[in-house]
Amino acid sequence: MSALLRATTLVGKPVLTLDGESPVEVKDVVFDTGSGRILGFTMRKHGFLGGPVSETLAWSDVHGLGPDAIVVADATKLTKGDGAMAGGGDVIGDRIITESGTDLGVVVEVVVATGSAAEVVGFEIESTSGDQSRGAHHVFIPMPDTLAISGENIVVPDTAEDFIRDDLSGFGSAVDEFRSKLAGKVT
Amino acid sequence: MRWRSALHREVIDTGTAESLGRIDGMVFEPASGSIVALVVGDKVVDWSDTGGIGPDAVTVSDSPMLRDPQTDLERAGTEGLTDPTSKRVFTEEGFEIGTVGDIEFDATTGVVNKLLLGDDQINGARILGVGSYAVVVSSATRATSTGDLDELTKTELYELARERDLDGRSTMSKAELAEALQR
Repeated sequence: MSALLRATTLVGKPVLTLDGESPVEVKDVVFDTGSGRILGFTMRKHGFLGGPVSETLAWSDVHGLGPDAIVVADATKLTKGDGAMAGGGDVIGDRIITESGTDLGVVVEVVVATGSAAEVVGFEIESTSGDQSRGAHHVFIPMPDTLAISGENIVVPDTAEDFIRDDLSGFGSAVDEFRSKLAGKVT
Repeated sequence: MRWRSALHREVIDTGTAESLGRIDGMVFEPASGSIVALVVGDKVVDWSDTGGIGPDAVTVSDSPMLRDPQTDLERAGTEGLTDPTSKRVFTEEGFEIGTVGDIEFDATTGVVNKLLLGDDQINGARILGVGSYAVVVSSATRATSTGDLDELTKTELYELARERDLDGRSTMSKAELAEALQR
């Protein structure tokens, strides 16, 4: 299944092994500030008062990612140290700029496609364009396979603007169309 | 046979006609998808050493067949950890699809045919693991690639329908969802 979800909704979800154990839950999502992708997760013991653990989970060790749990093959995938998250941080608050210099808005959420081939597919942004009389306006913008990112700004192709959607339900197909259009440009 | 009806059934030694105890649990092996041993008190007896689960009792031919647990799986079994009953069910793709209410298994071979989840069910062959936290089953996508939509729960069929944005999915029955997805 490849439903879309907002990355921060993963916080507090159990990290589950294929043999049915869940030693920890997700504490935070760590983004690669150089690529906009998810680097991995920090973890904590279960429950509201669960203490943090020093081990981290690398994105490459995720077996399956869904709205209710992050699944890993076994507990050995949960033993990486903090070093695995070096260079990680947050992309929330970054400004999205098109190649021709239009400021589209500020990242408020990262959108992830679920399943066994989970990946970051786009951003939810607080739009700076359009009708401002209606107040802050959140829209979804697809993310290309590669993009320039500085820690403050994320540059996307101009065509990304054509695939902005108002809600998450129609966003999945917009991502697919956007990516096939970009792929077509290369060949 | 349903596991809840088998639980607490008496275990009888056919040699001495003595009662050795009652079925207190199971040692379930995900790799074979079957109950490989029964737990009686803090002891286990291999399924192959029993005459299966009879209508009123389980019979073993010799009392020494009731032995201490030896493997990690058997020890987990005596602690109730390998029994899927009452555990939450997640797919390997991180979707929670329900809680196991009961288990349907073959009283002769110990093979688990189905996990019963409320008014829905999961094919026992989909079980990947049973732990202290949950039961993990193989993904719905695997079942759709082989065309076995009947093996999915209604929750999973609905999720697939949502992904394909099928109209009218919220009012469809399980059979209607499966049919619409096959089109």
